[in-house]
Amino acid sequence: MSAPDRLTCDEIRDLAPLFVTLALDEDEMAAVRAHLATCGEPHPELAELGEAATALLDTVEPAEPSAGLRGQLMAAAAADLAEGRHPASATSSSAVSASPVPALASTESPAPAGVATPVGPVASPAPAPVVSLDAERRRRRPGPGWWLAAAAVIVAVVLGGWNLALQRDLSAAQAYRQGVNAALQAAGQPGSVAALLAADDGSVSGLGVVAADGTVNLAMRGLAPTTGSQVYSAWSIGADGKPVSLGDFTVGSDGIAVVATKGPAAAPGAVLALTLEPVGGARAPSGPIVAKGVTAGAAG
Amino acid sequence: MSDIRSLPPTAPPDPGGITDEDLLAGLAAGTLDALDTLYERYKTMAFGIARRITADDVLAEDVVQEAFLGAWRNADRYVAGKGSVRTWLLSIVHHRAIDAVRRRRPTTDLPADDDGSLTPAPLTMPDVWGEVSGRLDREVVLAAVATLSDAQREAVELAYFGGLTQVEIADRTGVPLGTVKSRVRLGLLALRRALEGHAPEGAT
Repeated sequence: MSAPDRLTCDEIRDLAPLFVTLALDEDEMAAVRAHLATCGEPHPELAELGEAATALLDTVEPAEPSAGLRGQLMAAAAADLAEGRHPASATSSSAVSASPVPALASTESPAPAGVATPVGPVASPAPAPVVSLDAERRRRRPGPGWWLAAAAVIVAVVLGGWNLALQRDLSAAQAYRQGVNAALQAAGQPGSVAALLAADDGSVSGLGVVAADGTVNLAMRGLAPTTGSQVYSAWSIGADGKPVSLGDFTVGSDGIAVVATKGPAAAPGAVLALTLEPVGGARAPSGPIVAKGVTAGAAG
Repeated sequence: MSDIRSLPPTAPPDPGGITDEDLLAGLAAGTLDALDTLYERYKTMAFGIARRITADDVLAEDVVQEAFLGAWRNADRYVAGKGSVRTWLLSIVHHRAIDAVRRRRPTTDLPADDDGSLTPAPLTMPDVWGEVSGRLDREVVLAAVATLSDAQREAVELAYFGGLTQVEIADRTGVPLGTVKSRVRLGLLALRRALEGHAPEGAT
């Protein structure tokens, strides 16, 4: 049913029971809202019927959502702060810090050429991504163990198109491949979770695996080289919604990071994210999210 | 391999000392703890509503996440005089769930936001209502619903929980549009009458 451009007060009264129960189509709902936005009449019939309709919500049996939902929500909310989608984003740094966030850090020995250099003690965590609901739906439906079954595809995605690009830097390409292989090997261990990490524009991509004992393997490509005191910080955000730092690292001109570190064990649904921080050791993420991904059970 | 240090765990907020309005102020200020506490407080109701409407656990969780994120991003739009925070939040869940089931129908063509989700009307529109008598016990409301005629209850529930429009309800039940409208109106009025006078949960 199509709605007239302008409704009269009598028509609003007539449509009231359908409006408060959302039984009008979108055009009609919009027409009623448009009327109410400008009408000087109080239209008490809407409140009268609307309050009764609202009471229906209390007839619903409460139900417990999955434990992972909390982590996803908190990760997405933290990402809002970091990426400017929340009104308080202008002060997001303090807002995130104010929330209790466990943290910390990792360091690693000097890395070979072509491999990211982990930097000192670390900072904490952060944000996570609002995941496409459709993608998330698809992600959640497969059972455990799907990851390895799709390993060949994953290798193609992670490494695809990389060979030619890296002919100019074979040592870096080799380091990246080794990093991916190490991550895939870790993904084969029981209790591991894995995520494809990517930038929104696809310029950065890679693989992150968290083993059952908390060992983390990251292999990333396409990262902008760090300069000065800049570091990339890796974060894990689990079901409790508290981001935990996995460590900081720097990246050279080849844009590759292969990092092995240790953090808390992660359950499927945890978010792995990389942020670019002005300095290492931050207690909370303040820089932009460079890449992110939601973990799925890797080994069955 | 790296050494990992951990900060001491933070004590959870005391739910007893923090009102919903306090939490909403926290959301508006961008405090993640406030969102966490609000979620813990209402997750089961929110998920119950979303699941009732969508009949799909995965979709229901999507709805709940969207709804809480909507509240997180728009907490400053809550108008205290137009119902409790609880009602505001659960109304967002309700609207989101209805949007989700309508979007799922192949014949439905709904406009979407940039991120693919529909605009959460309760955040910006006058579609959030107060309570008849404050927060009521579920059994009280179920008893009030039981006073409706079968036809009234069917029409109300097909709309409110089924996500059907008046046209779809008329098709489904085989009655004219005017009859659908009348049944919903009379059903809601009967429900209101049955609920008026009941003391809110926890009231003395």
